[in-house]
Amino acid sequence: MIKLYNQKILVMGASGFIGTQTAIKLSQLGAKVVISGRDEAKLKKTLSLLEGDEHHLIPFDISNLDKISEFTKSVVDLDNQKLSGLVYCSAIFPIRPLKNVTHEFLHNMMVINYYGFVEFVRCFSDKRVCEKGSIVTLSSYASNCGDKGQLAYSATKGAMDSSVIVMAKELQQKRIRINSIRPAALLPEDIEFCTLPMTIQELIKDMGTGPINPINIAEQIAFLLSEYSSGMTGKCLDVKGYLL
Amino acid sequence: MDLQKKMELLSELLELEIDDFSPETNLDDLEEWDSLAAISYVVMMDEEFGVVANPNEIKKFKTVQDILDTMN
Repeated sequence: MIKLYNQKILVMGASGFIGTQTAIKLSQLGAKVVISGRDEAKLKKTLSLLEGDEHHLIPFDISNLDKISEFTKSVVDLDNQKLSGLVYCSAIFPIRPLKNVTHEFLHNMMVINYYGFVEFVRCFSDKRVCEKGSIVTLSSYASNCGDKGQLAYSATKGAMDSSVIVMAKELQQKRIRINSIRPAALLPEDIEFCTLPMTIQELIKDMGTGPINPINIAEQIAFLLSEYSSGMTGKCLDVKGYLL
Repeated sequence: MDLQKKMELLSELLELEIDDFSPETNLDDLEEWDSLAAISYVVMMDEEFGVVANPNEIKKFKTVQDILDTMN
C-alpha cells in the first residue's frame, strides 16, 4: 500500500472535485496536506473531510502570479517543514468557439491553467521550499485531442504537457520528479450523464469503462507522488479507458 | 437596446449581412446557426447583457425573433 507518512503536500485547486478527492486520499495515506484555492468556503468543507489533524488551509487566488513565491514560502513557514509534493489541479475550462477566443480570453485562460502552473513549479523547486519531491499536474485528454470549443483549454493543457518534459530534465538534478495525468471524460457527482454535450457522451461510450471516477485519479496522483513511482518523470499519463 | 443594434449583434454572431436574415427567419434555414453559434450566443449574452443563457431555452429557439426576445 502507498504510504505518504510525514510527507507535506500542497494541493492547489483543492476546492474542485478532483482536488478534493486528491486531498482526501493523500490524508488517508498519511500525508500532511496543505489545501489551497480561491473558494474558502469550499476549502473548509474539503478540510473537514480530511483524515488526521495536521492539515492546513490557505486560500489563494492563482491569478496573483506575483504572490506565488511568497505563498509557497508561507506554506513552508506553517510548521517549518519543507514540501515534498505539489499537486496542481487548478484550472478553468470555459468553452468558446474560435470566433470568441480573443487574445484577452486566451491570456486569462493561460494565467490560471498555464502561467500559474509554471510559476508554482518554479517556486516549489526552490531548495528552500523543496529539496526532494514529486509534482503531479492535472492535464486533460483535450491536450492533444481537443474538441470544438476547446481551443483555449486545449492550448493551455498542451503547453503544460510539453513543459513537463523540459521541467523533468531541469529538475532531475534537484531530485524532483514531475508528471502529468491526462484524464478523458470525468463526471462530477452533481452532473447527470444525459445533460453532458453529445460529444462528451460519445467519448464516454467510446472509453468503454464509463466516466472516470475522480477517486481513481486521486489514487493515481498519490502513486505518482509516492516512492512507488520512483524513476518515473516527464511523463503524461493517459487515463482514457479503451480509447486507444 | 433597439432592434437595429440587436440585429447588428446577431449579424456579427452569425457572420451574415443584416439583409441576409430577418426576425421571421427560421433558424433551421440558417446553416450558420449551429452548435458553435449557440455557444457564441451564450458568450454574447454574457458580455453584452450580463445574462447566463440557459441551454434548454436555446434548444427551443425556432426563429431569429426567439433570439431577439432574449436580448434584454
